[in-house]
Amino acid sequence: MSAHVEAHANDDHGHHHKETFVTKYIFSQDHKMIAKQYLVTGTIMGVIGVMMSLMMRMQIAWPEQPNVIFQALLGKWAPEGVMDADIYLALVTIHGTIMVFFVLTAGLSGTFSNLLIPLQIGARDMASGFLNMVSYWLFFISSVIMVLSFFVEAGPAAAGWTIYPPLSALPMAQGGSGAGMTMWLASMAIFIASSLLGSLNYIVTVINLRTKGMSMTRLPLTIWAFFVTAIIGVISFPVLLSAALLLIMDRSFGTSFFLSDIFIQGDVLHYQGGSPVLFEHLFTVLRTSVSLYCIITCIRYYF
Amino acid sequence: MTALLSILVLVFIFVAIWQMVKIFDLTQSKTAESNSQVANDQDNKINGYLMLGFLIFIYVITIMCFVMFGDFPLMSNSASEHGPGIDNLMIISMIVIFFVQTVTQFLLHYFAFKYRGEKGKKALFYADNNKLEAIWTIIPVIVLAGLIIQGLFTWTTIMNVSTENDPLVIELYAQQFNWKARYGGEDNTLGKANVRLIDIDRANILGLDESDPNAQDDVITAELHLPVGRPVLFKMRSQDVLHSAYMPHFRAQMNCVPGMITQFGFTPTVTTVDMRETPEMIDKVQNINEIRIEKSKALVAKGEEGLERYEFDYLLLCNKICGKSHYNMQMKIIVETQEEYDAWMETQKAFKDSLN
Repeated sequence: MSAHVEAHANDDHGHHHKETFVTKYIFSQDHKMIAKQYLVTGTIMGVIGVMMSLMMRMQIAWPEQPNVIFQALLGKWAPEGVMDADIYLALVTIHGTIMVFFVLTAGLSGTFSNLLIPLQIGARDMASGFLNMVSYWLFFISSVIMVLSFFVEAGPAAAGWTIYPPLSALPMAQGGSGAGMTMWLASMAIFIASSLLGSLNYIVTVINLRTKGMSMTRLPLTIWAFFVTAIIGVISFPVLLSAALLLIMDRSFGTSFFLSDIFIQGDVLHYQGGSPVLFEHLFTVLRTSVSLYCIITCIRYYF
Repeated sequence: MTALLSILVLVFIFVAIWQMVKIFDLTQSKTAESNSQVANDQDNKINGYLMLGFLIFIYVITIMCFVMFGDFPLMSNSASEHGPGIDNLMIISMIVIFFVQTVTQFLLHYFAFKYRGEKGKKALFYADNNKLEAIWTIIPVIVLAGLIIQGLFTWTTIMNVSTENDPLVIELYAQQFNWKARYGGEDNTLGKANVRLIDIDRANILGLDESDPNAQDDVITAELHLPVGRPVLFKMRSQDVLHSAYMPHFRAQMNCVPGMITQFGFTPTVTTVDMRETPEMIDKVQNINEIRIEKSKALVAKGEEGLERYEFDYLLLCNKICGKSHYNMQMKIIVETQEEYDAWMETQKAFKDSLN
């Protein structure tokens, strides 16, 4: 039986129906094509993130000096080429967000899990090609929203990638905490949905679709790493989603989950009884798991 | 816009040159052997030696960094009683990290060199070695457990603030983007306060409860004076967003959270004057001043005012992003003798006298 599987392993991926351009390249359900889509989107986001860090380093190396690159790329945020303090924080924030979530989490995991899991466990494709497609396109939408948030008038989110409230919750504390932060939160909520769909798919595929004779103990270490990172993702991202939803409630619907006793710009705000420390705890769950996630991601390249 | 366009033009020129180089490359006829995409012994040898070269590069860079920047003033001259404990932890961690880094990098690159691909060389199938795995699991477990236990002990000593030795109680009050300090006054007890009681018109900027008898003699200042050798207990508040009270020279840091009071206690051991006279501080200040003099020359040449001379002072900084001027949110800390402190305190106004 196993010889039979080996002999036909190459045919498996050639058995698809006749595909149109749209179903083959855009709304593709083929794990290899989705892997490539993740790779391209992740790389573009990576280039944007690295350019931001370059601008931060240029500002640190020549503080408050005018620079033609700032003038070109930052526009009104660099009057006469000198970087504004607000946009520096925005660069720190968006750079962190893009690198951690869009490159390390989605770009790496999305690309290599999709590409390698079916190939290395001997499955025809992922457990659900459709969910896999939805996962990629949600990731794409969240990337687009994140990039669009750079162009908001009061600036993109600038409260650090950990977006600790109250700074991220109060538009009067910082320009970036207005529409920019709303878009950041919307983007992250969609991103988390994408990441969960992807992770669930990887887990189900590894558990259910192994070929005959491929027991869990015979799985390549690479697959074990993907499997474990997927489980960590499923455990930790919902925590971030809950934190983000509560923050959206605080920002837009007047609740006080994270806010209490605040006096800002001459006014006492109505918020009472919440605690910013709650958000720190919720976020810590995520950031610890994401570090683990990244460490395992890196280690598996040695295998 | 012009700048953006010029940068785009440069990028396109670069891409064009790159493409031309590629086309030129393709036109060069090569023998099938050297043009093959499969790595031969020669390729593997080059890569093997490059691995060794990279190893040497890492070591040289590390040594250069130690020689040029290896002086860690923030790891040796703490100015508080608990400071050496933290410095010790840092130094031990650094030694462990550098030892492991040096050894593992050598193994990683040397093996990549030693077992490089060669025609006829076959990989040895080697399933596992329980003894080896046990060794490289147990050693890190012991080392890390040691570090964590030492860290835990250090942590409990630092965070276990006792009020038995009559600490000086001071409130650190954070707002975008400055600090205020509030002393308990003669009774050394802070009056009640809440941001809802802030009354700008009456100059009650910290929201003290005016009816609280403990609040009457509180002293609010924009500079933090501490008597040397006396334990201080800081109670931290924030009025708007998260801030973090960071006093690097005292190895102290604590978040300031709106809606709650956090605390941190330490004992300053070196006065500002003594710290200024330590050899490393004299060196550091001189170095900064030389740079400032150089920069001043350029400024004066442009018809602007030169920079002031730098003098060392302890600082309280904000260490949590809190908005646009976060980078500049600081307060001067002056550690002095008890007499100097008393004399300074004499000149300060009590809360009840400072109200409009």
